[in-house]
Amino acid sequence: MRRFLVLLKKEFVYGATLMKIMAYSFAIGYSILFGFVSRLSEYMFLCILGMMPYIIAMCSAPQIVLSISSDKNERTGEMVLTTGVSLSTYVFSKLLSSIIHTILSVFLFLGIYLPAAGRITGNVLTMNEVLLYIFACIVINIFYCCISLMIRLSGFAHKLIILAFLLIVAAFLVLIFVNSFMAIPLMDQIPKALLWPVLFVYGSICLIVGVKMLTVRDFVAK
Amino acid sequence: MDTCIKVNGLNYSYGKKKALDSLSFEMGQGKCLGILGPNGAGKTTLIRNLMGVIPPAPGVIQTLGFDASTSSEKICELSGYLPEGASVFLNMTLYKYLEFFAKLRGVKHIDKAIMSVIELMDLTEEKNTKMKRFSKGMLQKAKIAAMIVHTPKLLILDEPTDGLDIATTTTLVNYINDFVKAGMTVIICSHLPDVIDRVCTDILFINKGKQIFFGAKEEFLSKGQGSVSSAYQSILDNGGR
Repeated sequence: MRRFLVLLKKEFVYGATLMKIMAYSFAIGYSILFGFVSRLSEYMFLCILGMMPYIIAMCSAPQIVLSISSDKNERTGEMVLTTGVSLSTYVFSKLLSSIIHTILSVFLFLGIYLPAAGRITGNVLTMNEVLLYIFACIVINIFYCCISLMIRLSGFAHKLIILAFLLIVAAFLVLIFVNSFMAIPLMDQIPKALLWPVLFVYGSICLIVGVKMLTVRDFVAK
Repeated sequence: MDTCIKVNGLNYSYGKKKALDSLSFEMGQGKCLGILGPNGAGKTTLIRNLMGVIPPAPGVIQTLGFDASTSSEKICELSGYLPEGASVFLNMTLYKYLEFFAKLRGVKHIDKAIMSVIELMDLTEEKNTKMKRFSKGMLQKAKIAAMIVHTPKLLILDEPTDGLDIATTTTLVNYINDFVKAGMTVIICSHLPDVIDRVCTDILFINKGKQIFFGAKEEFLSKGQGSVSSAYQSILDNGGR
């Protein structure tokens, strides 16, 4: 636990790249939300508003892929992993740091733009939506983390197993995005509220299977 | 003298390419082993096998009394390993950097341990300086300091002087000599014979994954004209045999 917290603190405090991504997400949110507001119908505006947190989460979450990748290329991962830190501690500290950054990015957008948008549209964020966005941030991070592990895994069979898991998560993510953007009545807030936790549990199983297949060798530069 | 590393018939392949071929040697504690060989000889692969980072076959390598195929985490805890070309966290100060590794290593008296290595590596004035302002030589000293903050039994340095000027190389060589005098077992991996000449007591020469020589430095010197460089060149001129 002590090692986990040390790694988490380092990732969180010194993850400068991720902070930049947060800033970019903020800028994207600003330009889309207010750049088009006068040219869109209120219906379209609400659709974009509903989709933006997911888009921001998708933009922020790849920090875990970048972080693991740069650790490998710069051999800092090899330095850290040869201190006796276990692979699961290393991966999960990166994942948690990435999740926190993503949630911060999303709620930075929501906290600043929704009150402003609320004045225009009367849209108010409910607790149900807050929980949905938190679940979404976690699931999207787990999805990227699994991609990163899949790239790293040395065995072809292992890659295929994780890919099979990931395709299902990917299919549901696309469905949710399309639903958010198009406001298709196929899934309203209630099924979505169920879908995110189900994806979270499924994605976590996928991640644990992936981590169990890893070896330090997968994090060592050739 | 207790055995620190025992390798018995080590083979390792990347797919179909054989990286290490039947390596066998034994090294006592408190010695300094230089692993010599041209680029691509298999030096880094050997080091990773010794640490268990890439696990060898069971029973082939004993490092610090542990089987490298199953006890990698234990070996890593007792050792310090600096990979070739490893980067540092440039936004950290030197103190924070060393504190990070000290905490990962579970060092008890962290401040005392950090100050001790900072003084040892002559970096006291840079204690609170961000490492993005460090020169290449200072960065290398900082990385070595991070690897000895927990006073390891075994220190492994992969190409520690790569890209450094003569003066900085000499400084690092002096530090490594001090570590050996203090009883630490050191393994240095290099393709530069001069560095090996100045610090090592034993030499392992490998070429294309094959063990060409293992023994005391004096014995290795007899293969050339009294220097590691000439012995190295002589072996390569004979086709690496």
